[in-house]
Amino acid sequence: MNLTINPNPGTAALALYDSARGAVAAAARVVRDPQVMSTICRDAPALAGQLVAQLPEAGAGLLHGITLGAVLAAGWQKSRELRAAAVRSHEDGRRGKIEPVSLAAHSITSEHRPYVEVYADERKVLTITFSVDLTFTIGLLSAAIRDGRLVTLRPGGDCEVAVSWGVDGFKIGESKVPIRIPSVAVPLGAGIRLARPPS
Amino acid sequence: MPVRLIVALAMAVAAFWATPAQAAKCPPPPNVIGQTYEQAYETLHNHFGYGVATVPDPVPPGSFVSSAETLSCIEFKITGVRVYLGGKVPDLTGMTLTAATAEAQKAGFGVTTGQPEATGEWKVAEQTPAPGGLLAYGQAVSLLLDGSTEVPYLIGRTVEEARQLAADRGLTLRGADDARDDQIVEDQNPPGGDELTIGDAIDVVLSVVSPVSPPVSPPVSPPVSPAASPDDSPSPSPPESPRPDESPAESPEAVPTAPPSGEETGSDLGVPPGLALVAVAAALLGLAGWKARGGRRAPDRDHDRRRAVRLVSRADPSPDVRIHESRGSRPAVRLHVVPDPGRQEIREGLS
Repeated sequence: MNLTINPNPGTAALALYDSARGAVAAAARVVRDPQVMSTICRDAPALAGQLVAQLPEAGAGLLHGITLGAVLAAGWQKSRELRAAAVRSHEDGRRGKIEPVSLAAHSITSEHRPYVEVYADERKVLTITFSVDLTFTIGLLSAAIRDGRLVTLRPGGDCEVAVSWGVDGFKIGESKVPIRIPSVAVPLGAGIRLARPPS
Repeated sequence: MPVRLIVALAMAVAAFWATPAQAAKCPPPPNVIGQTYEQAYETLHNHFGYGVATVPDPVPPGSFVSSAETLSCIEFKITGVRVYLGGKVPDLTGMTLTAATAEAQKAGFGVTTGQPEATGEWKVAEQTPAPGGLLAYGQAVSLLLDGSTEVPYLIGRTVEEARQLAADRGLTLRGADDARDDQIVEDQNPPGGDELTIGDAIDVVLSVVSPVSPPVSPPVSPPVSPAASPDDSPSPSPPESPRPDESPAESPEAVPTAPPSGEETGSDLGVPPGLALVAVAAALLGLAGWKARGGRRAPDRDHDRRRAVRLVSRADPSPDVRIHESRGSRPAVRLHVVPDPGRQEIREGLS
């Protein structure tokens, strides 16, 4: 068992839109602009019409595929504070014991560049890149580390996430919303590994 | 006898002079053409004492004298004058023929055009007299109409929007009679920006799917990978071409597409590969012949092409995730002197 963070909202799409269809509709509004589509399809203009119909769905799927819990976990894995505590937890006399760590206000940014490959007659003719940029602002994080692994997370204070996404340089949407991050703890032996035991 | 003749002649002459003069024999009125009605009335009535009749009557405000004639006179002395009034021609350019006709009638004029093929949607390119010119009331403004209209850009629009855009320019859609309003236009002929004559139709090819009709697919790709532990293997780099084992289940947002190859088609239908090859060859020959005949219908061609297009989504395998800690209490923070208080933060773990 690993440590799973399940914030609410849970995906980048749901941080931007109330419903799953919202992302599709927003992308559709943008790609239906002839200027946008002519830019996206500059190398294959004949496909513009088909892409207008299909690209919003693909883009929304990519947005929906970015889970905020995974991004948060990836960000906290890079915390020097937490990793230092993880190294300390391997020291003699500390093994098997909980090492509490607190992170003051901090932020985690994450830039995603998922893309859609367009195949015409089974030949790749276009690559359309989406951009999804996330910025979490976390007021406080109380964590516990045991044997080099992050085993407890207890976020506190105000937390929010700002999300913006676009396609090929054209903004589709952006929003900043509060995010609720429930506390999590995992049993002995599990957790996110932050530091290997010294060899 | 001579006396009777002289008396008769004298009576005739007397009767002639006693009778009001015929207009043709009266002198012309003073020149008041171009003057406002008020100026002309001042001259004719107040100055010369003539009676003044107008056409039309009553006098529309802002009228000018277009022409004038003597109405009556006695002994070559004018007693009455009829003035024909006119007004300034409104600017009708840019209006549709229907609107221009109504506008001209409101101003007291008619319209005439030498283009019997014109419909009410054609637009006024030129007019005679020019806007602001004088014309007698009841006369017609000569119009030169232009029936050309710019083809709107319809690709990407829903059928409902496309119909409205076309209608706004006096055009119709062909190929969308049975369409749902949420289907979208994938192709059009002629293309946007071209010119058509008002009343013409634009051929459209509609999408099979609408942009918001199918439900949202589950996440396209595995959730973002960075949650894996540090000792996990690095994420793979994006592939440059589709993997052979890709299936619609791996790319749920991909729309239904035609089978990727004729061989698969043959096997699916239980047709021997040789027969499938012959069929493909025959199809190619047919296509070549069709092209040789010069037949070229862009919408149909693109309809065929549409079936061969598919999208493959790729999640970012290595998103750039960073943590920015502030107000930390570690020594590294204190040793790091940053003049701008707003940037007292640590940037860690840069990928």
